[in-house]
Amino acid sequence: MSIIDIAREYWRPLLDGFWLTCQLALATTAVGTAVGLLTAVARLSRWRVLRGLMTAYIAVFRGTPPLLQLFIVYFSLAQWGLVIPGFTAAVLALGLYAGAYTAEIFRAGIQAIPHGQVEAANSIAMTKTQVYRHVILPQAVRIIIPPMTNQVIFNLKATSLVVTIAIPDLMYVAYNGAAYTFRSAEFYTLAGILYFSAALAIGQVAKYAEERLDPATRKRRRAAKVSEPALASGFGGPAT
Amino acid sequence: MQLAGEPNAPNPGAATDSPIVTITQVNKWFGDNHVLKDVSLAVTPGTVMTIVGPSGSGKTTLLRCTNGLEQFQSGTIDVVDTRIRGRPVGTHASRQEESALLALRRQAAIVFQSLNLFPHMNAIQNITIGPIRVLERPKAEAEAEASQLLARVGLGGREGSYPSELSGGEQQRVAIARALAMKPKLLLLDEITSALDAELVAEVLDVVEQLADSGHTMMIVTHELQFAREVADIVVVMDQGRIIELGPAETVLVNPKTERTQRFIARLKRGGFTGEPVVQRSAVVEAEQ
Repeated sequence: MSIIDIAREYWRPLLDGFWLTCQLALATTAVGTAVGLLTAVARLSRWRVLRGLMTAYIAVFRGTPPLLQLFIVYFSLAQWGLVIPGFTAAVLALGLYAGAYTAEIFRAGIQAIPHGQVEAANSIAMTKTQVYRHVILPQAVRIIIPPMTNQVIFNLKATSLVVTIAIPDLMYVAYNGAAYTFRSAEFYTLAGILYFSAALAIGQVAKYAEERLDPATRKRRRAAKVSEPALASGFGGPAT
Repeated sequence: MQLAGEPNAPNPGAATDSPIVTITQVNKWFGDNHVLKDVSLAVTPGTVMTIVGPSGSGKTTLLRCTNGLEQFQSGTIDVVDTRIRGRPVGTHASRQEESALLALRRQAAIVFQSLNLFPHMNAIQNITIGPIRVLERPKAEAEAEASQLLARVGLGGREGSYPSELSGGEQQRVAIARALAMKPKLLLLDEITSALDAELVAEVLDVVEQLADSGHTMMIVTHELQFAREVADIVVVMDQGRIIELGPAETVLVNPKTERTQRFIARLKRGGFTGEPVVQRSAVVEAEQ
């Protein structure tokens, strides 16, 4: 029995598991990004207590293993009377874990924007929220795409920890398949291929996003769209 | 109806109007450094005031205070009907003061020495972001006005250009258009040619002269004495945080009263300032085209 035979016989549960893994990765990334952004902004706020709380959150969640965090959310909270369903517990724990790292990515991105940009935005009377929304974040996003790509792939892989709380994700299906059929090489190779292709897809999306947000590419696309000789002003026109 | 290009064309006979900006007894410290000392002045509508002085004299700081970008510790600054007050170092603005700051910035627009265009927006987006988001004006209207403003600063047709595709002088002209789009009552120009290559200075100063001619009220910090003299109604000389001379351009720059101003001008004369009008500034721009 070859790996092809295993794939043919077990593709259904494997794909079901993979789908659940994708859902977990998406939800974790959504929670992690939202928490990360809020934390980053809060850390740059002028309220010292808020800054302190956020710094503590990052230290704790970055400084302890994600598996331990998952167990505390799923098992320990239940012991204290707070029962959280598996999927929710997983998204909560892994999302908060991801948030701690994502916050630092956002903070680095935000702080990389020159102060002159903020002053220029202030000078046209933008409110703080408008400055973030229209000036800082659009520029920060471009900077943080590479580290965010790493983080999303990291989030995807971290979902495999949920095997320990019996959520039937890809890792769980592969583990069970291997245990029942004694074909661990085939099952884990297939799972590996699926994880890897998802990571590859994330990388491609990031590459596309990075190109799209690059003003130089935008300019080329625009030039391609405009058929008439470009805006008559001496510069930038096509050399004919 | 007002044209976009003429946001505050002066009323005939408006010269006796109350001042656009009144700065009263402003003091500011950077740490132990007392950078503005009891500075007071007023600018009436349609007046072009240039502020000159050696580096570190406080002229840029004064301009930044007038736009609320710098806190000051005592005194008041009134722009049209909005007042901001000095407050101690380390204190934060109250909610009320924050909104006064926003109101003030709608009246007084500043253009910076460093070319602070938003790099992720093209020229038209840079100009319209304020009108659309802050003044909440319809997009089509704001864009039509922005196009007119671009034409006015000599950049008609460059609506879609990103800052990275513009020269320093062109970027600075877009920045001027961005400030004008807010229809400010007061335009603050902070050494706007200091970061430019010499051959790009003229095209920017041309635009400023044209704004002066069309009646904009401006406070201009500059190192270009020649230009300061040509464009200004009033010249202010600052030194070590104080106003040491204030008066009509001819009086202050050609026949200065104080010895310090004389020394300051003498130093600059060695750098080429003659006190004589410049010959056809635009010749440079024309030659380029």
